[in-house]
Amino acid sequence: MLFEFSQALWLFFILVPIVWILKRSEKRTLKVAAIYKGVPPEPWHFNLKIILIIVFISSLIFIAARPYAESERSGDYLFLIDVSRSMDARHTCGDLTFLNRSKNIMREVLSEIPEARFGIVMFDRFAFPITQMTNNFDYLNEVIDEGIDIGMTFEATKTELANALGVIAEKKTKLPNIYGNVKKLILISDGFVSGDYRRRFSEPLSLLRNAGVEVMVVGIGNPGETPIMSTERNQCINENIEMDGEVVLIQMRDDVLKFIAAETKGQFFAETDTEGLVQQLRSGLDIVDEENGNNLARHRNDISSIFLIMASLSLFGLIALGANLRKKYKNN
Amino acid sequence: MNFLDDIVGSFSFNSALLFFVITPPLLLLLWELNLKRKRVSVALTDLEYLRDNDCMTGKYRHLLRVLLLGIVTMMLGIIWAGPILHTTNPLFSGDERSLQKNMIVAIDISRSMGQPLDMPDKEERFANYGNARVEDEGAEAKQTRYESARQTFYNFVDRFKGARIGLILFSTEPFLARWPTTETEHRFIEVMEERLGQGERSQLQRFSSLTNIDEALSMTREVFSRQIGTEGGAVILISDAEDELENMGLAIRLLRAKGIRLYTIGVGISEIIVEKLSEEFNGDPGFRIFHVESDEEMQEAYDLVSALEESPRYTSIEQEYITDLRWLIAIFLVIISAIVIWLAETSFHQSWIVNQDS
Repeated sequence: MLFEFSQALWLFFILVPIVWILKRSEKRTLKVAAIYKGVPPEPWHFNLKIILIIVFISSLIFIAARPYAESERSGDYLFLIDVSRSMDARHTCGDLTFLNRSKNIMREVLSEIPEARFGIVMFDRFAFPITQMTNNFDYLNEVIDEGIDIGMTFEATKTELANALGVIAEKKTKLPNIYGNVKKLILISDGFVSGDYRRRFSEPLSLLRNAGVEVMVVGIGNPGETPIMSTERNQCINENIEMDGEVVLIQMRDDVLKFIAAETKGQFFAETDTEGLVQQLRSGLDIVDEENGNNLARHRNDISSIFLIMASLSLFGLIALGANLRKKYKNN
Repeated sequence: MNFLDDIVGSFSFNSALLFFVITPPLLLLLWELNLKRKRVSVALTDLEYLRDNDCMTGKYRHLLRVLLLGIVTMMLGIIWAGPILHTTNPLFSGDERSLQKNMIVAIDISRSMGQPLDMPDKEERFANYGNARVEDEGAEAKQTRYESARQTFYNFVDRFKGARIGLILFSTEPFLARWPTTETEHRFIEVMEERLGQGERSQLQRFSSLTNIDEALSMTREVFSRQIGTEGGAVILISDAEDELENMGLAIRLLRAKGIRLYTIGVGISEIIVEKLSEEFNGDPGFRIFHVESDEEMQEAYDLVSALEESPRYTSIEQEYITDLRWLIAIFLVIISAIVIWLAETSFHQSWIVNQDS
């Protein structure tokens, strides 16, 4: 446990006079009881009172010192998100698009691994990082909710997955201060590419391997082909997009995606297996070690609520004790 | 007075409903207040004190004890509710910004931006399109417009630390290179490190084509409208080309209608466009256009824009800090609790012994 305002801990000295006052008060009660030949409260009553007051005051002092805990482990992960037009596929307007399904996976991963740092790279024809590497999850969630929809390019009809993988490998090599700790890349895509992908992917995958990056691939798509619904003024209409008189249908290419995972010693995950993905990512968290040049960011967690609960319970106990809930005294 | 000046005037709670966590101890206090004590025990107050202060009966002492404990309980409830104070300047080192100066820089990455900065003549620029490499070795060493714009951008980011800055790069179409963020210490080098110019094989170079300012401004408008918890803001547009006057005018008016300021730094753009736009938006402090021909002029324009954006006129509205008051109230509560305990155990002491004769 660490404190942002450790000077507040000097307030613990206030406990000394408080305990002295309480002891004096105890003596006074015993004296009065002796004079009036009454029955004083049991010794545990006084001891409990002192304990409750010490817990109450100590909890408040801890709250004042702004306590926080830091995670021992952390990790840098990059989301590589497909935002090409094929990710707009869905059967009906009531369904989520592939892209919206991708967003749900991202949100879940973020909520499950709060100690890690994430960055988001979007790709269609090109691939650019839309966010910095950050552990500001409010920011990342805002980007997921609002930023990804804006998309990269208006004519994002082509998926250049090979280019995107190459860009990641290049940036990791060129910018070690920023991407040096990225060892796992989370690729979320339908893998909808055409042509001889094995040949095109060979160079970027080799670069990724050399850069020490494993690709965790999440395949987004339906068992069969999925059409893309038309939109008018950003509103979905029940019409399928056509090209050359034929409905455009998107088939998830899990063969492509599994190939990428296998070539980089990564793993392929079905869309429903977010738990497996999280487990795999968690296994990659490293111990934060500033001395050895590991510049991973520690996750800071405010833990003042624990002390607030302790203060409240002790105050409640104190009031209950003062309310004197003892049963009516029976005559001897 | 400075402290009071810094307070924007709003005081709020993170989770006001949590105040009601203290309901059980408060109810217990009320119950204690109404309890018929005579039936169960005798509350004796200190005899010596009673002799000295016979004006105050045990009943009032009891009432005061309950009142003091009530104050402590209420203060604990306030801590639960998470009080925060909104100020224009940070009061403590750990204060967080809740509202930042919000800016989007839109940089033209069309082919002509890969040309040397001091190539003012438009015809000459068009004549150079498609050349594999500038022949003149001297020209090759010169700073390109993109490099100059990039340096200007770096300076800008460094000057506005803590501001929320986004980046849009545009050519025939725009793309969002960075969702506005306050974490700008790397100056967006993840994107900006790519080179632009003839012969380069970077993504930026492949993206680079013609210029479409309207689309870029339209995207800035969309980003502003989608951001959470922001008000107003500014767009700094760096380009070496101009669209149709009518289209540009419309795009600017749409931005201004949303209260977004626009500063256009035009590298070698037509003087006619500058004059006509300046004339159209004459008197509007939210629109400025600068015609620049050299790196020095670009830096001057950037200085002017920065000075305008740093003026209190915009800063006071668009900058706000939040001070978490929980820890501060906790400090006060420690002191108040100590006083309450002292009073409760001395002046308002109650022995709560049980009378054997009852």
